Amino acid sequence: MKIKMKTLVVWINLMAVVLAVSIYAQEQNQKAIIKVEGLYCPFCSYGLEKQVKKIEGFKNVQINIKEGTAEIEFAPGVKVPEKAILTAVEDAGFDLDGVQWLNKGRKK
Amino acid sequence: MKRTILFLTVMVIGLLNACAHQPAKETSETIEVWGVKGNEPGQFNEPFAIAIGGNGNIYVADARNYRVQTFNQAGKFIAQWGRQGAGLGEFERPSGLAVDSKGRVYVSDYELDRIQKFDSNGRFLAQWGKGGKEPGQFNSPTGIAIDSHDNLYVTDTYNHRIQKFDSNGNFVLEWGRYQPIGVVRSFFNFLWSPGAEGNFNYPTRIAINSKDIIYISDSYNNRVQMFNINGEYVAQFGGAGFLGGSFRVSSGIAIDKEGRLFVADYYNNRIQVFSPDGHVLCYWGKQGNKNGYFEGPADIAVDSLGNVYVADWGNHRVQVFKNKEEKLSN
Repeated sequence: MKIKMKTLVVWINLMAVVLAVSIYAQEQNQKAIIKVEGLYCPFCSYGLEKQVKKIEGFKNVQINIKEGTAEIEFAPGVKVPEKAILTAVEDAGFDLDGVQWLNKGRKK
Repeated sequence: MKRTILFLTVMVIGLLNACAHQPAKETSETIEVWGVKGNEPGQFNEPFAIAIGGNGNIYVADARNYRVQTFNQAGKFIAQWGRQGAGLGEFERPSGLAVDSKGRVYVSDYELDRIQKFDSNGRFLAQWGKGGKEPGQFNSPTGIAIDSHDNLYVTDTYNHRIQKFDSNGNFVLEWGRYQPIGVVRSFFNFLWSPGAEGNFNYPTRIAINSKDIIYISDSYNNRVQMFNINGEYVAQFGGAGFLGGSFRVSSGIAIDKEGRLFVADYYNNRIQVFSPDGHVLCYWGKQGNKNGYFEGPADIAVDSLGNVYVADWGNHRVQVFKNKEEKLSN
């Protein structure tokens, strides 16, 4: 009985940890790094920033002109279709070279 | 034919390079640097536009600090106005500046698609514009210039057109549409005209000389186009490339009292000087953060003494080249 009690406590602790990690992961912003062809100057990067801000769930963006990339953060739990990103990039006058999601548990 | 082309190419390259100044060495003794990255008065975070008022004060659109800062010619901070927001007197991305004959300051906003008008102390007076394609609407307005009658000309960058307004913001006329020029055709523009006269591929900056000739940076066509105040095409110069007289994204334009043009060449990280009809006279600058070098010159202004002010966007500073005009005359 004593052993069973100990096992139960260990299981409860484990489940609590899993639950906490899961909640934490859900509360983290979703992050995507996009590669954009033709991103050369502030006239372009400000244009991209303007369009990306229109995507539902947008939180923040960091644009790296030298690398031609933008790291975009979206609110946790918001479904962000890649088509919305593609539209924003095209409306800004660029071609999208690729999207890499940094959070594995993002909603699709 | 091949020999003729080769001969012409060599001649052009030779002529263009003959007047090229040596960069830092020639200018290093006469450069002032204003500001470092930050949000305190006198500091900058992506200085994007610059203009000079009739009183000699220098206005800087400090884009990511959502404000306009004012300096005297010695670089002393005088005042600032604006904060982030869409309210009256607020900015999301101040992107262009111009000062009219009465000292009123006009500021374009790239994100809010509007022009705001302030008095010389930064008090809000009026605004106009919203997002769209119709006359009087904008899709990322950038440069502003003012003619001798205080009419405003705005580069409506993402609509690939120019719009003209009176000083109260009433729409007068527009011209231009999207027409990109291929890089190869642009590079060889000394052999045949690239065409697309009067149309644009992301026009950004604009300046007007004392004869009311309008010069427009047709940035992604790597050229400058000239128009009269009715929007009628006059001439063009530039073309894609690295050589003197060519551009990799033409950006800021300013005109000195002699009518010479100072054009920021964004991706070549240099300033080029042209005669009023577009012949290159000299250039200076290269990529870097030393004095006299640039990380994306986004805009430029020239005062009545011939001092050249450059918004050095990626270095978060303004560089002032003193008595540049005197050096050009020597």
